[in-house]
Amino acid sequence: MRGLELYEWIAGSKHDFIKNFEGNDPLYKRAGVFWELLESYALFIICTFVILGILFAFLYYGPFNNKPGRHYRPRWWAGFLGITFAATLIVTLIIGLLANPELSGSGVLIFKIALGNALYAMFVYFLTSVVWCNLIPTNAYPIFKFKKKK
Amino acid sequence: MSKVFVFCIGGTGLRVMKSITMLMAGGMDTNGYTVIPIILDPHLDLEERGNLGLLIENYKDIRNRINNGPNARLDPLPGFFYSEIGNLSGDTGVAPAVGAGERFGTYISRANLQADDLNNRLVETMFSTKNLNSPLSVGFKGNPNVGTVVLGNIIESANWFQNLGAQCEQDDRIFIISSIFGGTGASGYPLLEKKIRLAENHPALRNAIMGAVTVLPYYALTDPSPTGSDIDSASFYTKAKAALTYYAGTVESDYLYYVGDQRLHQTYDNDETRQDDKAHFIELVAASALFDFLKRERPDTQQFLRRAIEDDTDTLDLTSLGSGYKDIVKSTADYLLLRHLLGLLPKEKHFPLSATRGFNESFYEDNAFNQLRQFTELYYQWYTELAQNRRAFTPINTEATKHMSSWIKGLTLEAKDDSYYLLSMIKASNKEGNMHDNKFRYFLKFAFDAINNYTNKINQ
Repeated sequence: MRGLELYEWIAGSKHDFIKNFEGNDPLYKRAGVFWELLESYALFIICTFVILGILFAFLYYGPFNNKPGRHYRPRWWAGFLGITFAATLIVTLIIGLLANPELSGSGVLIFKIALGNALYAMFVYFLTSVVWCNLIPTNAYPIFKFKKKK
Repeated sequence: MSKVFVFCIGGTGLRVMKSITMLMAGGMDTNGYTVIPIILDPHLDLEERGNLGLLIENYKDIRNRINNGPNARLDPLPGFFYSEIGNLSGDTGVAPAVGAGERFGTYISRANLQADDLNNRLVETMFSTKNLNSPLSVGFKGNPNVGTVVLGNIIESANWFQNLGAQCEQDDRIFIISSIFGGTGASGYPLLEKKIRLAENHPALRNAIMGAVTVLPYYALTDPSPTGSDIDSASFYTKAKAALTYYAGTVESDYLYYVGDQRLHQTYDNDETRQDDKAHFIELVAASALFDFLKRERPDTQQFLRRAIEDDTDTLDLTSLGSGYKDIVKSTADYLLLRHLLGLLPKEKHFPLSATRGFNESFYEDNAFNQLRQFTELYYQWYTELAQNRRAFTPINTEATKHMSSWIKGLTLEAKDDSYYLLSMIKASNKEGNMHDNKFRYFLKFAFDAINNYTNKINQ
């Protein structure tokens, strides 16, 4: 899918994965099935990074900055960026583990996909922040507000 | 807009006017009246007279900056510096001094009298040699007999009275501040009132609702012998009683406020040339009389008023002052919180309003902000004097910058630290559109909204 090449860049392609099991037909087949199962989870995986990216941006710019404690400072924004990364990583790992592959190397694959997903979530978090800073009133420091030309 | 002409007579008049200015800066409302201070004090050398003039000018400048719009004047902004201080047209509000630099004997042309002249005998009967040799540039040194003559001349002869008559319109008011235990105030108040009530050419002035606050002895002075001072505070009560007896059937102000204390808690150095007495709680109470007066209608009969405190203690806070002082405590708490924010915000990196409202480095280096900061330091000095004097007026925990819920003693505020106020400022800004481009006005509006959001609890 266009725009989602990061997964392949991090985790490799289907071919890269299943070729590890060449010479062992049962494992080769299971690897293929596992990959297809992961592909069927793609929608969940994508939804995870989109939803979590937007959710944590919303939580940062909305409720969190509605409470005192100088939450407007950019370090808090960075903190939420980190939380977005960690939360997406964990949720994606859980989704991946649902495939229950019991194949050597599948854990690393799932981790790599989760890593890619977390990076996408960070990007969504950033993108939402840009939109929020420019279009929606917030109590946070508008780091990404475009300066108006005079 | 209606006006109230506030006559500040003598040293106490000056200090009470200072308290009035500070309370107005903190947001005390004059009920729509423009305050026009008129200082009546021949003590030209007095530093605090000059300081008061500068303070008032500073107040007016700050208020002007708040209300300057792109094309026209903006409406007064509720909150800090809300009420207006104006000028008596033709001068700065300070009445010209007559007889400045002269000795009293010269002033009354005693030299023109023959030694055996009956009038010379009368002068000798009424005035001591000390009185006659006394330079007028340092005031009347607690001698109302001298004050009556000189102030009478000031009031009779100066052009400012004509200006006053011309400027006073229907619904304007008169308020006179004086002490009763010295020379200038004790003599000036009845003279001035009489002059106003007899101003036949100026009916609006003659018929104006008039209020006055008379300050009874509230401090003592050290023994005059070492310094050779002519003022002896041992005579304060005697003079006050004599003046009160005279007032009883003479003064006719619609409202007459008596302010004083049961005993003299504080003793100042007896230096008549400096008189740099620190701000005192009694002056603050006298100042509050003006705000009370401006809320009242014309009475059917003359009204005499006084104020009490809840507990007779040396250190006064909201509890010991009593609920009648809530507005004063709130005004003080608000302004001291503003001071805290003024110190904090220029150092506050990434405060959102620096990006959205332009409260950035150049804003904090601008003349308007610096003028506000200078005024605020004078305010803090004034409050510190009140807090260190006796009785001590200390309703604010100015040191509680970490645990700010106890900012007002005797009341727990929901704002636990300054971040609550900063957040509240941001919220106030988000609610406000872009109505004008006066950043200074926005700053004070958001600051007041934020502070008031929490300190308003005092009124509940």
